[in-house]
Amino acid sequence: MGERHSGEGPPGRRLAHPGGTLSAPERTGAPGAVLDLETRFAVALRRAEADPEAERSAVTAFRAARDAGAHDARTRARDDWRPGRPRRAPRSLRTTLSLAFASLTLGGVAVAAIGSVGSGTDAARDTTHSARPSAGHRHAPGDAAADGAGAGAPDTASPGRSAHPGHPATARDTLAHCRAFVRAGDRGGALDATAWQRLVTAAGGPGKVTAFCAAHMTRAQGKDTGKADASGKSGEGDSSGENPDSGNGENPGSKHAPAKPKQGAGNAADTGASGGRPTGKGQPPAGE
Amino acid sequence: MGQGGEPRRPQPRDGELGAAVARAQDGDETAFAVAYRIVQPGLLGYLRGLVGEDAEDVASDAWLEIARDLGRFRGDGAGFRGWTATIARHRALDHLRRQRVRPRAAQLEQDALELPGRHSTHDQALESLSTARALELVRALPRDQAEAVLLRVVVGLDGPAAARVLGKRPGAVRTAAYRGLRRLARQLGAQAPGGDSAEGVTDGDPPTLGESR
Repeated sequence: MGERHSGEGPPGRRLAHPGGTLSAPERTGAPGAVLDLETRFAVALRRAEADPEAERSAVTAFRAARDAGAHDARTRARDDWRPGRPRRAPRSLRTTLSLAFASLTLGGVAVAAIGSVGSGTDAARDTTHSARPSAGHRHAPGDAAADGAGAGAPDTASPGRSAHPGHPATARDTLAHCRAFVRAGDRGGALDATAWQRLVTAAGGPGKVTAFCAAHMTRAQGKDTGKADASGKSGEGDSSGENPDSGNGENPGSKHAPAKPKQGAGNAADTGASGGRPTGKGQPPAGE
Repeated sequence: MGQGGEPRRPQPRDGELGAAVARAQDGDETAFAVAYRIVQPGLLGYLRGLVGEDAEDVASDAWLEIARDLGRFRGDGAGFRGWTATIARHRALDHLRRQRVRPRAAQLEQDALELPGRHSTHDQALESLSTARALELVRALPRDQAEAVLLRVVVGLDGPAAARVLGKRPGAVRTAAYRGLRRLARQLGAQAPGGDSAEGVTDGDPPTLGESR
């Protein structure tokens, strides 16, 4: 800027090498003047008489480090100046805060997802568990309504429930939660808090959950028996249901589902136990 | 003046420097001496700007660390300049911390006033900016501008490398270098004899500092 000299040369040598000698400043426009200025400062500040003593001590230090094996040390991030690698520029405060917030959010979502996935699996497992034995447990389709408040009737609603992909997820969840709720009665209220909240919301109050669940499960059972006739998969269950001693959950389970004999037997017992519970407690409007 | 933001062209000896560093990392002490000779002038100039007359001492501290940690380094010649400048800077900051000395020249105002009279010959002002005078001007800059100018002009780093050495964003370093160079140009212009600048800043050059007329 201040390099305003009277010369008239073209602004040609703006790419002067910093190490090169410069006889006189170029008569250039402002950009050239800046580069020229850089060159002048580079020359002036790099000018130093060599100090052999300093060089010797540096080389001595190098030799000592090499012989001590210090040169095998691991490369730290700050030692890596390879050109291809992205240089880590320090982030601005705003960026840091954004990143921190984003990671907190993602972490929260992840934790929440763990909860929902966990309860989902539980519900699914519950469904499959109770589904198999009750398939064997089930009476002829028409009998379900007749059984009404009878023991085991609510639970027969479950067969093959989780196997129907078209079933709305919320209804299936509610059903699963209901089943879990019914079971939890046995074990002293081990129902997952989220599931419980949903159930309460769906039922319209904590006190109505029992009735709600009973109604819900009965309804689901009704639907399912309707479907069971049509679908081939449920047909399997029906065939065991046709077994003469369908009143006994264990035998058909072990006979007709040889792949899972143990599960069938165990769950049959389970089903019986939990099936009796809601009727004993709440007297659900089973006829609904 | 947008040139302040351009990356610097590669230093002429970067290829040679990279090769020397590679050989030194294999244990060749002659190659280490070669690297030393290539890097030392720029490093020393940078340190002079930071710590003044103690630059030689700080530089030899830095070289001890460079010699010890050479095996850790990864990169080419230009990378080696940046790596060594980082080490030198840390040593210099340690030194300053111990001394509690600000790197700014306290005498700036008086010196700047006297300068046009002292440095009015053509030779001094135009052909060979003296090392002392250049240092004086650079050290009169605000710290961030002085460092940015020194790293780019004297050490020969490009913008991103200088930013990495300083631990700042490239944009901030670019701005600092640009402002520092502009300020240096004004101060040199204020003292340049011959032509219309000989009479001082009468033709629209704004005074750099309050005291320079």
